[in-house]
Amino acid sequence: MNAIALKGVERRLGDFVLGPLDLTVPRGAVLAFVGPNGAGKTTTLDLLMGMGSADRGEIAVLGKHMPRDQVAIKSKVAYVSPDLNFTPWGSVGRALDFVRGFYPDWDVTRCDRLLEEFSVARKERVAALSFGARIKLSLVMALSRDAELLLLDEPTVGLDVNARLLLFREIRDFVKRADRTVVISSHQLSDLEKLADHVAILNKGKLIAAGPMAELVERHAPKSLEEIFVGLIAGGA
Amino acid sequence: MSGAVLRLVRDIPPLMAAYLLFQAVLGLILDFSWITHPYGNPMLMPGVLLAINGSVIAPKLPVWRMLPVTARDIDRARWWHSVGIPFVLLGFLMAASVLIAMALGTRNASWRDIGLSWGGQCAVCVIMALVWMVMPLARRKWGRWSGLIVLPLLLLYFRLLVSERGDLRPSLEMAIPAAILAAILLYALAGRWPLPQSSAIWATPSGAAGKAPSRFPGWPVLLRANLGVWLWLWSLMAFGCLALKYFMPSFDLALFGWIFGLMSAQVAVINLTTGMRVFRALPLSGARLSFVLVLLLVCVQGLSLSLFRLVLEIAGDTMPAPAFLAPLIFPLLYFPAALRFGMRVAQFGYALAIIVLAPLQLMSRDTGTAPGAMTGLLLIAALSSLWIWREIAHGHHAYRVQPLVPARWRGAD
Repeated sequence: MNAIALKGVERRLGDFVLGPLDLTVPRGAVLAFVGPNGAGKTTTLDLLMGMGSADRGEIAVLGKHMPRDQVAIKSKVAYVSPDLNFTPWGSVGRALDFVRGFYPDWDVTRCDRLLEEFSVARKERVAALSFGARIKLSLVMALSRDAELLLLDEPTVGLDVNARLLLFREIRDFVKRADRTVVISSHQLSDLEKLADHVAILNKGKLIAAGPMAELVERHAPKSLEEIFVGLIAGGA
Repeated sequence: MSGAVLRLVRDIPPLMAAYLLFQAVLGLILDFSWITHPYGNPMLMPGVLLAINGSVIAPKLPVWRMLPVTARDIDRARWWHSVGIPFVLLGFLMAASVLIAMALGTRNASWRDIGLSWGGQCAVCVIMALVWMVMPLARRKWGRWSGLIVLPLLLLYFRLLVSERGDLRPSLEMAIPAAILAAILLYALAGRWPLPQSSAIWATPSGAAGKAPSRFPGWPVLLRANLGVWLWLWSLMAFGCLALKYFMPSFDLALFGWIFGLMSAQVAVINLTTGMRVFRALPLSGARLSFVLVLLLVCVQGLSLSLFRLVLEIAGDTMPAPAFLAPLIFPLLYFPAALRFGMRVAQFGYALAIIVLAPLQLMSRDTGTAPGAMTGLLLIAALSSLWIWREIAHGHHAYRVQPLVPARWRGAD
């Protein structure tokens, strides 16, 4: 079964048109979702989380229909974005306590361990956190649950080296569990090449390549993912 | 004015320019009304209206500091925004009002009073410019308690602007030269001005608590986190209303005082709008999330208005029960406007919502027109709730709203 299935999905935002997108992500995959700025990556992830609705097409997440089954989907999906803003809760602890109340599978011990490893304290003021620390807080929230799908929108932006390595370790641990799927949108292609086994490349709202990472790299050998990406975007590959 | 300062002074976005124009027109009307009917003390309110420009440029400073300009250039531009331009504009507005009144043959204010009004309006601008400087300094010294500085300032404003107690003219004759001296001093000290305080601090919940996991996770945590801010605003509302009543015994709190009751709605709307992406990622349907947020806004506003009702009792004023409906539903109109148009436009939405609801609020005070007004208000509430649901469940603007938090100053807040 697919973790994500997009069929003819289209979304118009002013002059920008996303899609039509046809994309499937098998369960257990780690998908590198890449594209230049403004390609539509965040808009696609937003649609998967019910933030806005598609003008056309069908969206299925974990075998369920979005937005019809959005509550069931969101119970099993963890989402990270640099745009998540926790200032209304004042402190890290309160933001965590708020979100914890909605997930019965919240693991307090794992949360405390992650807070310590990411060096974020519960008593810290959200407004005083650095940009990287805010991302860490989002990551702690996402990883403290037993989610089946991780949607990570630019999770490495602003992270220090240690936090980035820690994130990769957590993602590897996460996918070791049965049928756990990860979608990572990032511009750090060298990191993604090591971590992901599937890739989807988006440009100007259109999907220009999608499939297993090994196939794509093999087809364009000896080029790296970064070189393949640049070539595809330029239209020369 | 050097070229660099001039470029900074001209850095006014069209929306802000439109807002200033609106304030200027309002100032012209106030000046003209007072010149034709010079009741009580000189008219200083236009000074307050235009002095606000000194604070709205604060979020621009992080960008200005990156430019190849000196700290002195920046502070001089700040001076022109908060003191210089208002001085000139207020003079122009007063002159225009006088000319119109003379043309119509309705100038009843004496030349001395007209001079005192213009000078007093300029003095208000200088006082406000000083306040914008004192606030961050106080913040550094006393932390969140520095918010208490608002209380004596409120008393000062009421004394200057609306007081029916005593003649303000002798005080103005002393205050105007002092203000001119202070304005010159401020200009001379350009380059040494303290950095401004970000406007969002007072609306942001304190992070002092939350060390231990809460026994009541979920929505109660959001209420608990914001309780401190709301308590502060409710206290300020009570203090403001009672102080206003003291300085202006003839002022009918029930007529306009309810606008004070909207302060907590402002914070509630800003904070909920800021957290929309977090809310939407929760396992809640669009309809349920909309329902919870509507309930939350109405409850907060209900509490605020209950307190306002108590303040009315103390002040000896009364407001008919139907007249509470308009302020009660106010956040329901303001919230979707913020979700759809973003925070900056929402500041205008705040005033717009008041303008839309105020006539119905006035109508609801009269027993004859109350049923019609209440029907209209309930209809607005229902349509606004639908609008909230539409923005949350189907819109995308709500998740792209930029928070009203200017770039932070390291060590300043």
